[in-house]
This record gives sequence, C-alpha cells and structure tokens, in this order.
Amino acid sequence: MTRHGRAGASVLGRVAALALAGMCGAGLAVGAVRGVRATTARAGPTEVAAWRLDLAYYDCLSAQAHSLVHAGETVDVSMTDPGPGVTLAKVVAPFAVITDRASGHVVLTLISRPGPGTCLGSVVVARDPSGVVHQGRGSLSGHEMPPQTPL
Amino acid sequence: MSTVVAAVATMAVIAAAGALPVLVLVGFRWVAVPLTALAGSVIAAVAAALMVAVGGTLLGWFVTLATCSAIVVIALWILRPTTRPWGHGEAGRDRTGTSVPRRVPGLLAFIGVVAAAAWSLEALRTPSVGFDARTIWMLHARWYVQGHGTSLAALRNTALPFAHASYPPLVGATVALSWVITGNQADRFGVVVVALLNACAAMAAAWVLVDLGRRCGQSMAEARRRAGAVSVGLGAGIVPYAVGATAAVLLVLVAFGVAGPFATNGYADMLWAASAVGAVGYGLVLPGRRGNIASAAVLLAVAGLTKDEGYVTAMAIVALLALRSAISAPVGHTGRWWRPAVFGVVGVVGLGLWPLLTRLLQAAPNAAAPGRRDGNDASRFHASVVSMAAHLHVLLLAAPVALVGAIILSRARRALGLGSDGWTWAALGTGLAFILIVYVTGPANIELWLITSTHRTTMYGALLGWWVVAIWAVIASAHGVRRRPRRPGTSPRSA
Repeated sequence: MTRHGRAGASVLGRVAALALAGMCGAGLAVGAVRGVRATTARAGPTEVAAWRLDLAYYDCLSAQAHSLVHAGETVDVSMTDPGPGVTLAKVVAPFAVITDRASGHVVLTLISRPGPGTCLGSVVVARDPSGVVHQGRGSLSGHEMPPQTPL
Repeated sequence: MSTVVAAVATMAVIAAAGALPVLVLVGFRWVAVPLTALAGSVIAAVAAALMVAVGGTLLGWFVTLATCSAIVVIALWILRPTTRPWGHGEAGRDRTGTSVPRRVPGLLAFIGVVAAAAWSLEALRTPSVGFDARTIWMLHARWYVQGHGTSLAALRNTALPFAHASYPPLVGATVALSWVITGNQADRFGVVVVALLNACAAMAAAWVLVDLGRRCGQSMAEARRRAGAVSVGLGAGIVPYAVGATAAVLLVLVAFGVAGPFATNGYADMLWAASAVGAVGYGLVLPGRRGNIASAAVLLAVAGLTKDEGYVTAMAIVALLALRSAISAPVGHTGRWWRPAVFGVVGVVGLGLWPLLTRLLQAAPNAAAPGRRDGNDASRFHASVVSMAAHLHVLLLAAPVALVGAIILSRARRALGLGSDGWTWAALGTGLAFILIVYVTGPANIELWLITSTHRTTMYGALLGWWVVAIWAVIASAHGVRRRPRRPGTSPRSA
C-alpha cells in the first residue's frame, strides 16, 4: 500500500472508531437518562406514601404478633391461605421459632376482618393447644387496602 | 442512633476491617475505596459462617478475623517491603509510567462516580422493604444477631422454605453486624446498608472504565514518547481518560436503572451482579497484573458469598480467569499451566465452601419456588428465553458494537494488552446459561416463577451488556483521537 493509501486507511479507521465511540456514548447516555428517570420516579411522593403505609402495616402486624407470642416461642403459622400465611411468617419469624409440626403449639393465622382494632382490616389470631382463641392487640386505621403479597 | 449516622458508622467499621487486606492486595488506587467496604463485608460473611459452624458470636468472629488479617498484612509489610503500597513498594508503583498526572484526573473521576452513586441512592427516600428483604435478608440478619444456636436451628428449619436459609451469608452478616454495632435494629436501616453495598459494587464495576481510560492515555503517551515526540503533555492521553470517567459515571446511573426498585429495597441481586461484572473487567479484560487480579478476587468473593447464582457465576469467571492466565503466559514459561490451574482450583474450592458447609450442617433444602412444576423442558425453555429477553434488550446494542469493535479495533485492543471481548461474552453466556438451565429444569410453575424473578436474574447479563458498550466507547475514542507523533525538528504541517 502506498503512503497515501496507508494514510487514507488510517483516517478511515479513526473515523470509524469515532463513529463507534459516538454510538456507544449515545447508547450509554440514553441508558443513563432512563436510569435517572427510574430513580426519580421511585423517590416520588406516591411511592413514598405507599411504602410508608407498608412499613406501618408490618409494624402493626408485628405489634399484634408480639402481643400473642413471646420471643423464642415455638409456633405454627397457618399456610392454609399461602398469601396471608407468608405475610404473617415474615412478621413472626424474626422473633419466634416457626415449626411445621402443628401439634402442641400455638397456631397463628392472619385473617381479614374489617373494622376497628385491626391492621388495615387484617388481624393476627392465635389458637392455643387447648383450642382457646386470642386476637392480637394493635391497630392501624385507614381505608387503604393492605399491601399485597407478590407470591 | 439515626439511620444516616448508623449507616456512616457501619461503613466506617466494615471499611476499616477491609482496608489493610485491600491495600496490600490492590495498593493505593481509587478502586480500593469501594473495595474496602466490600472486603469488610466479606470478612463479616466469613465471621457468620464460622459463627454458624463453630459457635460464638458474629461480632466476636468479625473482630478476630479483622485483627488477624491486619496482623498478617503488617507482618507482610515488615518482612517483605516490596509489598508495601507506599514508597517504591511493588504494590504502589506505577510500572507503566505515564505523562498523564494520575492524581487530579483520578480524583475528579472518583468524585463523579461517587456523586452518581450518591444521587442514585436518592431512591432510599422511599422507605421500601422488599418482599425478599423481609423473608430472606433481614430474617437471616436477625438469626445471626441471636447467635450460633438460633442461626443453626434456622438453617435446619424446614418450616421456612421461603427464607432460603442456606443462601450465602454476606448480606445477612453485614446487616447483622450493622445492627450490633449501632444498636439500630430496624429493617429499614438494614435496607440502607444493603443499598450502600450495592452502590460500592456498582462503583467498583464502573471504575474498570476509568482504569481502562487511564491505560489508553498512558499507551498513547508512551507511543508518542517512543517516537521521540517533542512534548508528551497532559493532552496526550486525557481524552480517553475523560471518556473513561464519563462512561463510568453513566454506567453507575445505568446500573441503578437496570436494577430498578431492587437497588434500594434490600435485595441482594444488584450486589452480586455488579460485583461479578467488576470481576470480569478486572480479571478478564484489564491486563493480568497483581492489583487487577486482586480487585477481581475481592469482587468474586462478594459475588460468591451473596447469592447462589453469584457463586456459580463466580466459579465460571474463576475458570475463565485461570484459562486466560494460562493462554496469555509465554510459551515454555515455567508453570504456564499449573499455576493458573492451582489458582482456579483454589478459587472454585473457596467459592464452594459455603454450599459445602450448609450440606455438612444438614441445612434445609433451598427449594422454595412458586407453584408446581408445569410444562415440558421445551415449553419451559421457550417461556424462559422470552421472559429473559425482555430484560436484555441492551444485548441488541452490545452484540453489534462488539462485532464492529472486533473488526476495526482488535489490533488496538491487543496493543493495549486487554483481554479479548470473547472472555466477556463467555462470562456473560455462562451466567445466563446457568439461569436458563435452572428455569428449565427447576420445580416451579414456570410462568409465575419467571414473572417474579427474571428482572433480577438477568441483572448480571444486562449490566455486563451495558459494560461491553462502555468498554468499546473508551477503546474506540482512544483510537479515534490518537495522533501520529511528531518528531523533534518537524513542524506540525509536515508531521
């Protein structure tokens, strides 16, 4: 290849490289803008309010569970309805021992019961081995629906 | 203690524990800053594993391990001065030489990357505690706080399949440690700690681009110096450095966008995914120097101790790293094959210790998946590919970019001493193939399983795709702006 030919190829290579860099840069910029928008949306007032309600809901359920079961106690969490069962297990597992052997233990169930004295219409109920039923204490009033369990 | 103060205190403690090991391995480099926190979390994970297996408390083991590692490092610095990161020690020396003053551009790039990560953490204003954060990571932390007995019993408890008790311990251990240190045991604070670890991993992965930009700048300056150029000033290599820094900032913003809500709601997927991407960069792309390999090792440890997908992917990266090391060693070099083989075996065995330990401790099977298995392998394969592809659109950009880059820039890439793009694609393909195999052969209702998980399980592939795009942006810009060197006594026009 002649000197001019080499120089031409070199210039062409550099132009192609710059074009590739530009394309990659544009792609990255678009991705970053989408990331910024997603982050901004997640920090918006609607999201903040929804998650504050979620925290309050779980705090309420936790208060109810603590009023029925003490730390380290072995309990059974009813999974007859898996959604509420897992929600309740999330609340109970941090402080009590959950067993899958039902006999001889308190059985906890999360039931829906609209009205006062509930956590957005949910109540933790304990049935002890003798069959006596107790309802948890603690409430969160409001007309919102309880946060969904994404099973 | 308020959440902000507690978060600062936690990061200070874990970074202090990881500082000396990272300094001796990586040296005085900006990437060492996020790596110190990540290395501290690795120490916390090892402490949790020992606490579960042997007894004692998490804090006791953490302090013991941190102290022992500090003593070993200081002894090493005394006995082998070349390992010191200051003075003329090997770890602190810039062996390539450069005309680009490292400190100021490095500082500016670091400020940019930290600012991008800090801004992305703005989403923490929303007090979200995700589903898995409650059922897995915060729950594990509660067990670890309560000590050996509770943790071991929980590990063996078959009544909590959704808790994935046998998942690796890094996230739970770091959160538990933060609770013990600060006294603030709120789930919300635990979520903040996980988000900070996510940010550190994203910064470390992005910093590969800055290191690459610096390397391109050094290479350009070296070429001009060799050709006897009159002046090899700041401008000679600053463009690729600036492009690398800009790409790193953008990549951090992209990473938080890819992770979406899972970056700041207590999930661990971004942590292992970003760590694995960083490990690919330092281990398979940048030249195989000690500091780069050490950075990759720390990041592989984080990925491997965070989630099951993490340790499988990390094992694959270790195998590729060993293969690259063997292939790139000079032919006839003593230990060309056995040294990488030993490194690879040690790495894979190290990453396999936690799964082995959970089996030895008779942990409950990690089998929680939604619903009953449905469909045959073919239908599950099709559904999985379709669902995963929806989160991997970036590969439609990364693949042609990589192809064009390989055609027009492969020589420039080789001249920089960088690993072939094939290594990156092999790491990407291996990680995604593993996920696909699990979906196809796994036990769950495939539709429900995919809906609830593919955003997270494809995070590694998506981040690596974006990272490939960013790498080519830096290499192509460096090639595009390079100038033919002027010889002394020639005018710019005649050059």
